[in-house]
Amino acid sequence: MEKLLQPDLGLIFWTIVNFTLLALLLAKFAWKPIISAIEAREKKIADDIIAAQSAKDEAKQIEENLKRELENSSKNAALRLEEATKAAQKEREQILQDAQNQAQNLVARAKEEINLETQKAIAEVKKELADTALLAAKKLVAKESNMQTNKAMVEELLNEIKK
Amino acid sequence: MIDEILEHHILDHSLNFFGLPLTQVSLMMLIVSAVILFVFIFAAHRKTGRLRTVAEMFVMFVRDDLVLPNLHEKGRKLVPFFCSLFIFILFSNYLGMLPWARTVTANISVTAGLALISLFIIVGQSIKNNGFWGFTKTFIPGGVPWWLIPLMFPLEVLSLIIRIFVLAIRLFANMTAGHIMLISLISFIFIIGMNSIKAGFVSVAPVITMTLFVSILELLVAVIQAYVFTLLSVIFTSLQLEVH
Repeated sequence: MEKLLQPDLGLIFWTIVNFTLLALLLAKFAWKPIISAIEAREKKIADDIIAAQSAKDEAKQIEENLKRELENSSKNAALRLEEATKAAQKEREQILQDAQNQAQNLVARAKEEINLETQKAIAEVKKELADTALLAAKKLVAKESNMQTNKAMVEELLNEIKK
Repeated sequence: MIDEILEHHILDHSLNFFGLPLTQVSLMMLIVSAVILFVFIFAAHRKTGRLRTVAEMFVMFVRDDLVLPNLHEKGRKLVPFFCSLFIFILFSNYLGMLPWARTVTANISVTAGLALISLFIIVGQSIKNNGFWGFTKTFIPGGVPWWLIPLMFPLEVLSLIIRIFVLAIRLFANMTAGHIMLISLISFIFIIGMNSIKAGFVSVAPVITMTLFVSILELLVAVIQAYVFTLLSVIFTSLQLEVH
């Protein structure tokens, strides 16, 4: 059993040589390519994460800008709508005012025309009366002997005036 | 009788291999190395596949769970060495369980060789990072009064030697213990059989069941010991890198 614990220097030496060679060969031909691939993949993942974070930030920025623009647009639209409503109201009032003025003018002009026409008609009636009276006088002069005729003429004349 | 069986199964024997100074253990070491080289070089030159995935997971485990947490960025260059150390011990432990094979890590010379390599790495890294003077300073604990230094310095040097010695003994003892357990259990059949052949036959079933249980335990111990040896080597390296 004691032999179990007796180290053999030769075997220790060959263990060291064997393991050193194995470690060197593995380091060069196995671990190096594997570690390089892992590190490359990890770098790519890290870069992708950074790129994704950057894209996310950018998207957030764009979203905020759009939101702000949308708010501004809404405010502008509301302002313009208000302005347009006010302008339309003003224009409506103006149109109504104009229409009223125009109507008043028309009424006034119509009244004036009616007056003028009335006065004209009265003048014509007066003229007609004068002419008729003149004609009656002429007829009276021509037929002064015939009283009955005169009377009939006077009645006829009066009837004409009444008409 | 058990002594003879143990010596036959665990001790190294010289092989008459065309006049070369080859022993059973050294031949097994060569076989283990060849298998490791074949498996991992094959895995490294594949882009995908299960073997490649397992190899990558193994390297990432050694790097992220053993080396970097203890040695930080200074240990990045040592990852290949610790991968080799872990895989050599693991394959040696496992391949030794195959019929006709030998567990090379159940030999004190092999574990001593591995521990000496660890010592070389520990000392080498300490000198590389701290310089020779810095390396000697790592043996002086922080906050020690100057008059205690002559006492503490040899104690700390001894502490490092003991750590390395224990590293070799731990792996050797654990792997040998499993073999001794298995041989002892199987020997029960013959010991009982010498008294009564019938009783010997009756003892076969329970003994084989227990052997199977111990073998399964050995599978677990093989991984644990590879992990412990590598982890302790990493920790000892990190301890020797700190100048107090």
